[in-house]
Amino acid sequence: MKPAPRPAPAFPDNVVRLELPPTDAELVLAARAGRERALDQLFHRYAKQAAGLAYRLLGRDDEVDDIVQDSFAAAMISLHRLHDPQAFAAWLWSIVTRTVTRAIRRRRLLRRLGLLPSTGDVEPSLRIAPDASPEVVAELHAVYRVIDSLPADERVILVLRRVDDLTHQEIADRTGWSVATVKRRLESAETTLARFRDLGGGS
Amino acid sequence: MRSEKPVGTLLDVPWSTERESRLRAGTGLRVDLLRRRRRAARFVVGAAAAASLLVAGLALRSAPAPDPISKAPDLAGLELDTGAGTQHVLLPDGTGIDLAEHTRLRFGPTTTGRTDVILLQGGLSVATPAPAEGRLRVATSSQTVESNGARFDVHVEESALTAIVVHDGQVVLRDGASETPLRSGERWHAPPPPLPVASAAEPPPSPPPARRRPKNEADELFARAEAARLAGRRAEAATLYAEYHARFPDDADAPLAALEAGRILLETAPLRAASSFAYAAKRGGASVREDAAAGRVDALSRAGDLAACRVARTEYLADHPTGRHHARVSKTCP
Repeated sequence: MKPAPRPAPAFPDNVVRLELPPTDAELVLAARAGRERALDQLFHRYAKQAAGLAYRLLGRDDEVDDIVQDSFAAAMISLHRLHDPQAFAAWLWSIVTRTVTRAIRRRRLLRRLGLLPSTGDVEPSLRIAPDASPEVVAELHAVYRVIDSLPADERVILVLRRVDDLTHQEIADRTGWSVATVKRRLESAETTLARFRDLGGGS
Repeated sequence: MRSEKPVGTLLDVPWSTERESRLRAGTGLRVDLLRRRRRAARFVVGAAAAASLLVAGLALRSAPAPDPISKAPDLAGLELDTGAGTQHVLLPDGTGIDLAEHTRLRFGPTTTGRTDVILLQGGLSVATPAPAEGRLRVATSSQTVESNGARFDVHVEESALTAIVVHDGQVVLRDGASETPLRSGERWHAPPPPLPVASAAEPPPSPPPARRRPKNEADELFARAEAARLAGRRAEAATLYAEYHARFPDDADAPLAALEAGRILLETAPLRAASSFAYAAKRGGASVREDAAAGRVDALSRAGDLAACRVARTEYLADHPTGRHHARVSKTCP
């Protein structure tokens, strides 16, 4: 008996069909519709970056977990207010930045009230990647040594500018302050940094 | 410290799947906590309304000869202010009202089953249950919106109606002697008030001759606007920013003030926002110009002026072919 012909494969054997990951907008819309899995995917996609941003703004790791959880919780509960679902990341960074700013203010208040030890806010040994050039390492140490003496707003702006390399407009979007305010506060922070360097603090 | 490799990538936290899982679980708990807090806040509002009803009911019972028109329970005088949050109010007749952020309202007297809401500032989303049951009238100083079973949104800025959107049913807008019925799917916007620019769709006139500004006065006004915005007093901030770029149009910060005013007005008064953005787009520096041009497209889209929106979109895409808002603007008012 003649064997039945094998059906032709839909794809050649050497072709692997890749599925594109869902976009942020698709995940946001699915999350708004109540799909928990979409929230998990958004968290997985951005939690590490959120932690990195919080670490750079705070200058220490011990409060990063709280900031990440508070920021994501605030985002998840307000997803319906996000006008452009594809802009989820930018929106999340602004939430993280504002959460950190509030945390710095709260910590300073507690320190003034004597409820926290009066040691500095920044951890003494920053986790700087080993492949960073000596100039960059020196610059980072100078910035993080001086930010303890700055008001919370100036501190956040200086880090976003000097470390995260953002433009004035990007900083304004992150913080909710106007560009003029950002410029004024950055100028003040830069003056303090320059004075600090003149005193030999940047070496 | 601007190098080829972003410095931020050199400074990071140790990360692991264990840390991620722990944080995800903690985030879920915090979401539950936030939801419980919100429910508690709504309960407080409901309890305040119930207490008001109880007091009104007692007062009516003790009245010697009740007026038949006033037999319904009275919420009169109850004031709500959402501040930075949002609130949901459920009226005794089943009408649900969602109050947006920074919304202030006062209940007027309830007569023959109709509830009067005097909207002082902000926005409401109203759902009245059925024609025979719920009747609600939203009033401002000179206009009223009356529904007899409908779902609609109302926005007010500085005690004047700026927008109405009807989702279901029908409402009637009364302004003096004129009546405008609005049906499901229809929207109404107030004409833009005269600002320092000609109109939303046209570029503003050229600036007056340069004059020296009284610096302290201008700085003080700008600082007041900033303080109002940061304190969440959005209407006051918008007014102060508008005053700033009207009084000091040749000042370097005037376009910035117009941009800020536009951002604040975008949701509640999109046509006024479009005017402010047009001013900022004409006079601002590079970054202000681009943001303002994109904001103007958004504002005109929200205002439902699709023709002007398309013109503004074409201008933005031509002026900023690699702009940071390019993707969003190109999808607006197609």
